[in-house]
This record gives sequence, C-alpha cells and structure tokens, in this order.
Amino acid sequence: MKVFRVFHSTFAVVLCWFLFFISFFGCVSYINDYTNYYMQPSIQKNHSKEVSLNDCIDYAQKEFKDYETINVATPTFYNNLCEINYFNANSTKAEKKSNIAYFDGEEKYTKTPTLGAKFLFGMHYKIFPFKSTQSIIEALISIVAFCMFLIILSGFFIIGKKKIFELKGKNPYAKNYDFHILVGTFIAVFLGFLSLSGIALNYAKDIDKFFTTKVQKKQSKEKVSVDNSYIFDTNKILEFYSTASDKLGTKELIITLNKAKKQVQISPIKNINSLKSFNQSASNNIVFDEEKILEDKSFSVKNNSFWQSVYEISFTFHRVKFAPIYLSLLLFACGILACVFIYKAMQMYASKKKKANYLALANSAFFSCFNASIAYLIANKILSADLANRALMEQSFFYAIFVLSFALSFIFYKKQSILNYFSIALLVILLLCDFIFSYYSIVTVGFNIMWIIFIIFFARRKNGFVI
Amino acid sequence: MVLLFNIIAALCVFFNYAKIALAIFAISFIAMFFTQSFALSFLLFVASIIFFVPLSVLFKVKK
Repeated sequence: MKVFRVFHSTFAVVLCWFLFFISFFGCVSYINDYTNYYMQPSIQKNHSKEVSLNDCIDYAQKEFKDYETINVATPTFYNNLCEINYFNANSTKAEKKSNIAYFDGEEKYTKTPTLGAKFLFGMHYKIFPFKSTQSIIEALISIVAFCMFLIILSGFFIIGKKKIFELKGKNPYAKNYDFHILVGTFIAVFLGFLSLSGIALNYAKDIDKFFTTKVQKKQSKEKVSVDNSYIFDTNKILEFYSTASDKLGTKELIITLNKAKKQVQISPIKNINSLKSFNQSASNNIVFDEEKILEDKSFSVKNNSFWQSVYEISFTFHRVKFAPIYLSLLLFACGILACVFIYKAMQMYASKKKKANYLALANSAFFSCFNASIAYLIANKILSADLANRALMEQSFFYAIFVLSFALSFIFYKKQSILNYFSIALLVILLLCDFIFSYYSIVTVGFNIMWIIFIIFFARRKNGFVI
Repeated sequence: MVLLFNIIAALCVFFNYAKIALAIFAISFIAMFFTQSFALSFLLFVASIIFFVPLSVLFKVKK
C-alpha cells in the first residue's frame, strides 16, 4: 500500500501541472461550437424573422456558381443564419475550411478571420499550432494521459477504509483532503475513461493499419469535366429536405449540392444516433439524384474490425460530437469539477508540505490557463476584422498573457488577492467588450453569465488558499 | 428523462434521503436502456452522477 501511496503522490506532483493544462483545454472543447459562435460578433445580430431556406439555396447557387460543391447548413437554435460552405474538387483543405459565408435570407455576413475555439481545443493535444511538432507532442500527451490513468488507479488503492461520504475536516488541509477523496472517487471514473479513450483516439487507427493489409483503390486520373453552370431545382431540394428531415428525425441538416455527380446529399449536423452498435459504425445521410432517393443511408451500418471499433467508441465518448446543448453543458460542468479537483490536489500537497512554492505552482497552472483564454477572447473582440495577421495577433495575446500570469503566480505567491484582481480585471474588460462590440444572442448572454459567476467567485475568494 | 431522474436523486442526497436517491438512480439506470440513443443517455447518466452526487454531498443539509 505504501508503494501506491508514494507512487500516487510523487507522480501526481510531477504531472499535476500538465494534467491541469490538458484537462482545462479539454473542458473548453465541450463548448467548441458555442465558443466559435461567440467569437464571431459580426454574425450575432438578432434576427427576429424566420430564415427562408428557399432564399438561402437560391442565393448560394447564384453567388457561388463557379464552385462544384456547395454545402448549405440550416440554422441551428442559436444561430439564425444559413452557413454556406463552397469549394472545388482541387481546393486545398484550408480553402475548404475557410470558404464560408452566412446568409439570413436577405443579407450576407462575412466570417471574422480567426482560429476560434479550434486554437483553444488545439492546446488540449498539440499545444503549438504547428504541424511539425504535433506528432511528438501528441505522443508526450498520451504518456501523460497514461500516467494519469495510473495515478487514478493507485488513488483507488489508497483510499482505505475511510468512508468517502463523511466530511469531518476542520482545518484547510483536512477540508481539502475530504474534497479530494469524495470528488476524486467520482471524477476519477470520468478522467480515467477520458485518458484511455484519448490514447485510443491517437493510436487505434494506426494499430488497425498495422494489422490489416490495405487494398489500394485504383484512382482514375482522368479529370471529369464539371458543368459549373448546372442549377439544381430549389423546389425539388426543399422536397428532399422535408423527406430527409422526417427520415433522419431532425431539422438541423446539411444540404450538399454536388454538381459533378448532379446529386443532393442530406445529412444531420449532429447525429444523435451515432454508435448504435459497438462493432458497427453507422452512416447517416440520404443521397438524391434529380428526381428521387438514390441511396438511403439513414440506417446503413458497416462492420468494423476490433481496433476500428475501439476508435469508434473512443471517438464517440471522447469527442461527443453528437451532444445536444444540455449534455455539452453537463460535460463542461464535469470538466470544471475535474479542473478544480486537480487544482485543489496541488493546493493540498502544498499545505501538506507547508511550502508556498508548491502553492505558486498550483496558481501558475490555474491562472495561466484561465487568464490566457480570457485574453484570447478579448483580443478577438477588440481587433479589427480587416487587420492583416489578425488570427496570429490573437494567438500572440494568448501566449503573452500566459507567460505574464505564470510569472505573476510566482512573484505574488504570498498575495493571491493580486492574482484574483488581475483575473477579475480581464473578465470585466471582456464583459465590456461584449457590451460594445457584440450583439446579445442567447450564446453571448450564456457566456456573460458565466463570466459574472467567475467574477463573484474570484471576489469571494480574494485571499485565496491559506497554507 | 435520465437527466431529470438524476437531478431528483441528487436533490434527495442533498436532503439526506440516501435510500430514495439510490432507488431513483436505479430507475434512471434502467431507463437508460430504453431511450432512442444509448450513447446519449449513457453519457447523461454518468455525467449527471459524476457532477451532482459529489456536489450534493458537499453542500448537503446538515441534520
């Protein structure tokens, strides 16, 4: 038992900072879609009238007539605009991602050039937005994740006979210890599963490739001439849309107009019926030709090999792409609890050793990640949309505040109130930026409520943790 | 429905009715298998237990 105890505390102390970093940005990724929308102030105007899909399809076909493929995503519950994505077969990946326009039936809206939530989410698994360092950092993060799993496992062995639901702590250390045992018992399941599924996400596909011989498909190099002047019949598309929404059980759909094949493919934006079976993956789309249903894949399934299934399960439960808003918010709340748990574990170790340096380490993890993310959002609001290198400047803001907060945590390790005031100042600036530059939509209000809760939290605990 | 059951169960923990809470958790666990999407209800079940139970124990009403 002593071995587990030593292992648990030694490994955890070494890795807690990185674990907090990974957990924090992982937690942010649960609200990726909403953060992306929050970071586009220009498209947040409140539209009272209903968007006509008819007008949007007409507009997309007219405005982007030179493109082979046009995707029209119907408005979601928070965004009263059709998202139009347009590209050719030879377009680069970056072009495919950035060729996006928004339309409300009357007016066109342009997207603010930003990496958005993708940059914050990228911190979770690649830290720097460069491809060259990605694979090595992914490997290091997988090692950290595996160590986290071992820490969690050893934690369960050393709980002992103490009743987890009994809270008796009176001094700060004992209170933290009770919190660590109680919350840890529950949150460990969450973190343990995420760590294993995260590793599987990284490597399951590679392992599958290693065991299976790939049958190479013969690709015809002949270039098919595409008639870009081809126009789809809008009334037919609307008919297809209503058929597909009945079959797929949702009205939030993506309509893909493929001029090369003269086909219309309709698929759900968020597929809540993913992973119907553990060894099968389901595709959910319906393909129409000019008149009728060509291929109904609303319930089609494909048998998977073992490692493909591992990847599929990990992807479904780790990325949670299908999650409706209530599940995203609940998982986000669990993520915050996990971050608090790791932060408090670091504080607990500091109070056990009675060393303020360890407390500074805990604060450096928390305040660096939190302040840098807020600074990134502030930069997004205050920088002009036409500015050259705008996305790069936002990222520079992030890194600058990250380093500054890290340094401040060690400089003011005995005065946490200063760190709290710094965070409050950043949050107030962000609220002001929202007031000046954004339009109040349901998402903006949701984020602002969250900032106000954080301000109250920091104001209440301005003196911080006392060893 | 699964989420609602678990919130009610967490409230029971909060007001010190542990056995009733356990019964409601069991019902929501069974309900999980009868929903349209297993992945969705399973995650709701697990996440709501992970989030609500420790918090309701931490802030529960003292007898």
